[in-house]
Amino acid sequence: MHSAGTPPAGQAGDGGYGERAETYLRLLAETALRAAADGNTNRVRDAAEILVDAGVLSGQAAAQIMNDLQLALRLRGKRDALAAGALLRRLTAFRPGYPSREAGGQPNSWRVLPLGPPPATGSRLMALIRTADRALAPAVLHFSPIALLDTETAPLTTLTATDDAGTGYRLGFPGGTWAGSTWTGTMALYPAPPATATRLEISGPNGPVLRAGLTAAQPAAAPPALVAGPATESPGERLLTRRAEGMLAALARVAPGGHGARPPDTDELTATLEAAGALSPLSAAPRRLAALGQLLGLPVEGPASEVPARWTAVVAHYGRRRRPAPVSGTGAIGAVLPVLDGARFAVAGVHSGVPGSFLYVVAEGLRPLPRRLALDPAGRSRESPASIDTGFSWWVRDDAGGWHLCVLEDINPVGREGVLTMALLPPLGHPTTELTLEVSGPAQQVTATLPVRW
Amino acid sequence: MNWFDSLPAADTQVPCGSGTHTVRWEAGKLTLPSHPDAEAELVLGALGGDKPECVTVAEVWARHAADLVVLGMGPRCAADPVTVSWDEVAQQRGSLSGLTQAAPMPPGSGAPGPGAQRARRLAIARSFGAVAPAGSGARVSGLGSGPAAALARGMAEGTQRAQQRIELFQLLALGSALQFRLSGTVCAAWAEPDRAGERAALRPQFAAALSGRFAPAAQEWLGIDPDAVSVTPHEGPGWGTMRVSGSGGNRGLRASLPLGWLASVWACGLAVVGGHLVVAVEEPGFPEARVLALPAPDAAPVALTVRAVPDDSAAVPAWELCSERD
Repeated sequence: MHSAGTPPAGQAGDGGYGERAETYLRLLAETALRAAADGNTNRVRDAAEILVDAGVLSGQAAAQIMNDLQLALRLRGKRDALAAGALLRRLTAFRPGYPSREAGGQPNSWRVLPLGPPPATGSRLMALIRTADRALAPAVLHFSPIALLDTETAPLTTLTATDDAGTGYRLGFPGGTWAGSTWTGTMALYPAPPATATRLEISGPNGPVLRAGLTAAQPAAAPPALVAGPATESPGERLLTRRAEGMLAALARVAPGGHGARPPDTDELTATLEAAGALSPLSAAPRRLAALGQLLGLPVEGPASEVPARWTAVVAHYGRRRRPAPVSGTGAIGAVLPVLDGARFAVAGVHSGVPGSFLYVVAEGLRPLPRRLALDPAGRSRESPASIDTGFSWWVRDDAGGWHLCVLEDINPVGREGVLTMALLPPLGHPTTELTLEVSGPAQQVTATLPVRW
Repeated sequence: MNWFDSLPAADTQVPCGSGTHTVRWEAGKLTLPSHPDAEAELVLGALGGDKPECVTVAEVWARHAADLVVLGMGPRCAADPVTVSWDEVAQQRGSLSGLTQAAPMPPGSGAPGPGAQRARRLAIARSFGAVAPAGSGARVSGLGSGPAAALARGMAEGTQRAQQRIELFQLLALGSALQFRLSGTVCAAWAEPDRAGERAALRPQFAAALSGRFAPAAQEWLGIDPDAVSVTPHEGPGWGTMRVSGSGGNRGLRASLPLGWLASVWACGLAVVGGHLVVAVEEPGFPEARVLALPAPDAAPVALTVRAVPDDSAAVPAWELCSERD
């Protein structure tokens, strides 16, 4: 309730966007309190959500302003239909521009344990990523069809993990999918294997399922090239770009000829972002969004401009009647990205097949999931998370120059971390030897060139 | 010269013990005429004795004398009534007591001492299994880990928020006259010259506090739509700036005013006097004060002497022009 307890967003080195956004929202709240106002706070709430979405206002500050407004209305005999709590559930601790930290301390370091050469066939790890108290390993496990005949016992529950020194590890399987006798998903090892371990073996009752060498990276393997810096777009432009990416993702989810994308309310978005100082009136972003809408045949009005080439590549792929089949295979990557707007990511690898191409990413510090996408007791989302906007844009470029939009396909929480499965749109058409990754947050972005070992 | 010199004393009634007592605001201070030795009663309260409600109110007032939440909740103008009854305060207390049945709040205590607060927190924690029951002989588990402890911490924070809300309700229940005076007190505390750095970090809140209160005054002054009025906090010498843009339905007013305007002008009912917008008080006083005021947005300020119109029922005095010096 005490407003002074919220650090002003402008202190986060955000170019003053935070202060302007907070001022705008507070002034809007004042208008809702005027005698002539009817106590309807929809406009304030919509603006709060847009500004939080754009990353120019923390969810905490927005929720506090809304909470105070509700109480002030109540003290004036006006009650808003929507309880502040409904908003509080959505606007929680997402704080763009603030590094991810343990309470009162420095962030725990993440480390990729280098893997030896992958086996020619069979089961394999994409990467082994060591976090605070565990190691997470997206993997593909091939089981003997005979082992799966025993329907009494779930095959994953029979697995054990040991290293070359004979040390055993508790295994967890926070998420994965079966395709015949092949399982693709994430393994969690407790505790994380030490740096001295040179081999990891996953075994079942019928013998080893996976053997992975934990050796130094091959000398020939180039280290990932990382370039991190402030976002080139303003927070308002970032939000409009993410809305465009949402339209592209929707396009990919529908059958050819169908319409999955819906036009966002660009006018309201643009007006709020401009008024809050998060979008320049001269920005081309609204025109780009309008142009994409027109390209998709949506009823979008307003002046349009050129559509970025990478957007066109996605539209062109999904506009085909016959689409090329995705490449089949698993590529190991293993790279930890710098902290971006308070979130941490480690790219484990890519797995591709008939259903599509998927990037596996360990993440921490993302904003909370919307309530409608709450997880069930098994830790899986009840609805497809493909429409979740994580607040970040992910694009990869393959070694042939083809752009792919990464869209959240699944989330498997493991403690405070989570493993994101991100669908590449369009899927990979060949086993690319490297991926150039671009991740953009509200205020920061990183570009990384990552070697892929198939 | 003090900002509050342009305000007369104001009384309000507070339920205290078996009756009601007068609590008086006078010359910037809250006084308790029914408790001539309030200090002794405070000591007795701290030692575990019953604390009279009047004394509690005085403590709460002092605790919130620089609390910006007061500006968020308090009145924006005389036509913006903020009504809280003492029944509502009791109801809020009842809810809190229900939450913390194991350690009920002493009757009439709006602000329990640290010992009582700790006892209440422990009681909440026990109810969620984070702490072994008193006298059970069981080892006390730590409050810093585990889901039960997290839940207990959440409950304790919720209790603290509820306690703050009760205190706010107590202050607002003192009525309109004291609400304006408390708002003035908060603004004056933040307007101190040595707090410029702190003000800079809270500019959005001060911009909202100024705009919310200046806009109705501008509407009275110019007939302008209050939604077309915005104010930024002014720092540095001078009274600030005032600029009208557009015309007709597109007319807007942008002003910059120091935070102290809210204390010395707005809280004293001086914002608009005789068709002038008062931008500063040269010599505060009651029933007569000398002010600097704008006859029009683009005009230079003129010095005026203003006089309060007798009206005991008004929350803040209404003023009329006495003379214009030049």
